[in-house]
Amino acid sequence: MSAGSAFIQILINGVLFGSMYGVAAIGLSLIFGSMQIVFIAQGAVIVLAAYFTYWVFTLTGLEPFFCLLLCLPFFMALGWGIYAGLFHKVAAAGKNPSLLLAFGLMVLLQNLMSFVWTPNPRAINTWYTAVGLSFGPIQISFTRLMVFLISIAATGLVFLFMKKTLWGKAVRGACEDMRAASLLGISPRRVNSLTFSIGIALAGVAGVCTATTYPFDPYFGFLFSLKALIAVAFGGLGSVWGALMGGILLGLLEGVGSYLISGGWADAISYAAFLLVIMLRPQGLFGKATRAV
Amino acid sequence: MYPLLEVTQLSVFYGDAQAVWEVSFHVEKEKMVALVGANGAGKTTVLNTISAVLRPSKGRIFFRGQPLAHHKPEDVVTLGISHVPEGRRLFSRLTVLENLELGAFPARTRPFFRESLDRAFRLFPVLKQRIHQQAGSLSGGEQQMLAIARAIMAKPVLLMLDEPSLGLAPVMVKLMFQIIQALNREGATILLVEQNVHQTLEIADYVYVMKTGRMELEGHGQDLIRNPDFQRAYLGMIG
Repeated sequence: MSAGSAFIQILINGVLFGSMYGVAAIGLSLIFGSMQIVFIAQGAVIVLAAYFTYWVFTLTGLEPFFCLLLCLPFFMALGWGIYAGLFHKVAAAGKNPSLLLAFGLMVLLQNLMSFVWTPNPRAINTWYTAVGLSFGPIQISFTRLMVFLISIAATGLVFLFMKKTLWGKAVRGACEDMRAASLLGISPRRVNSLTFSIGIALAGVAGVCTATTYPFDPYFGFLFSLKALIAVAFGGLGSVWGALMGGILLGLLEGVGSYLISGGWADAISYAAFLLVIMLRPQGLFGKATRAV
Repeated sequence: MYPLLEVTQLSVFYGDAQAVWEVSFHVEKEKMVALVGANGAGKTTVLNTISAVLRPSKGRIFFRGQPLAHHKPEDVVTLGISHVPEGRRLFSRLTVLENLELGAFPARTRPFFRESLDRAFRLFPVLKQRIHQQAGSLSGGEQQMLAIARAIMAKPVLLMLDEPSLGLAPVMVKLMFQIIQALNREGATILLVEQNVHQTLEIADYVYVMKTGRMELEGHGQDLIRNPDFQRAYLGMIG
């Protein structure tokens, strides 16, 4: 394999992997948009969904990608429940209690998962796990390609919802100015329930994707939350496609970084890029600075 | 008959600081009533309390004879009170049309969406030309028009406007007052908060004057203009 095609291979893998960060980032950015908190437990929920998929697959033999259809309504309801049961009351007390609650939820989920499923890494092995599609010297893993397509589809659905439906527009408006939205009759409670439902459902999608492509353990999620946060910072808040692009960019950066320097540097590179973006372009790489009028 | 809006003995605090002291006033149906006064007089606080953004510590607010208590802002607009807040608070990243669509968010107003949209464009033709532009890209005057248009999309019985002339060029201020007057003639009851005392006195049916959180004076515009105390304090005349 020539250096050139190896590099293209790295780029493709980066894009495919990054799309998963992107899906997690959209959820994070939605919840941040309406509640103004970083839902740090997002990664733990993703791992929960991965275990959910693993569990369903092991018990029933249901194809992991079909498990998505099961996962979506379940995690949507879970998101609604997390807001109604936990965050609604706490949010009234301010942002810091909500942030602490999210942190507590993360620790609780991690420990619950390690209790139920043991802290050993799990992975799903199906007949197609190792299947690759060959394009000349380039190999594309079937599962990673599926993950990419699912990520694009999920992003597209969220985008259409936000752009075309009245509730989607209400969420966009409320993320910009919750008080103004409530003066128009848009209930903050329902907006928050909705962003939590969609955000957690997207975590479910990312979880199914994780389960089919990578081994995972109960503590893998925290890093995922951080990566999603970096993707949000790249993409700029409040933009669905921006968050996806941010995730893909992060995937590329990590892939190229590990190839050119070494695998151990991948995280350092992404955090350094994160700090640079926050310092130089806090509105995100693709975002326009909104003019204060 | 009870007035459309009646506020009695209203007191409002921000934490320990009292901003409004036992303020009472009322707004009759289809009238234009103005609250005027200097910066910090408590006018905005009164509007925010009516639309349930703030909670009064004392006093009551009646709308159509019913007490407004334990309501949330999103319920108040459903009852028929629309509030155009200070600083307009448009959704700057949404288009003009999307802002107007959200104006008609309450379920009871959605069936009239087309009708309301036509009315908004008739009152503010310039918005129709900007329909797919982001609200943040409009000029100050256009933004104020959009803010009012968005509020009337909810078909309010009572329209509360907080400083609609703030920061606008003089010619735009004049236009804004004409539009407010036109809305009133079409049957909308208006509660107007303004610092632009001169023009407010000319168009309002009845004027309340607030000073440091208390009701200071009240009267018909023409009577206030002739009142020497009022002249000295608010019209800059040396009597």
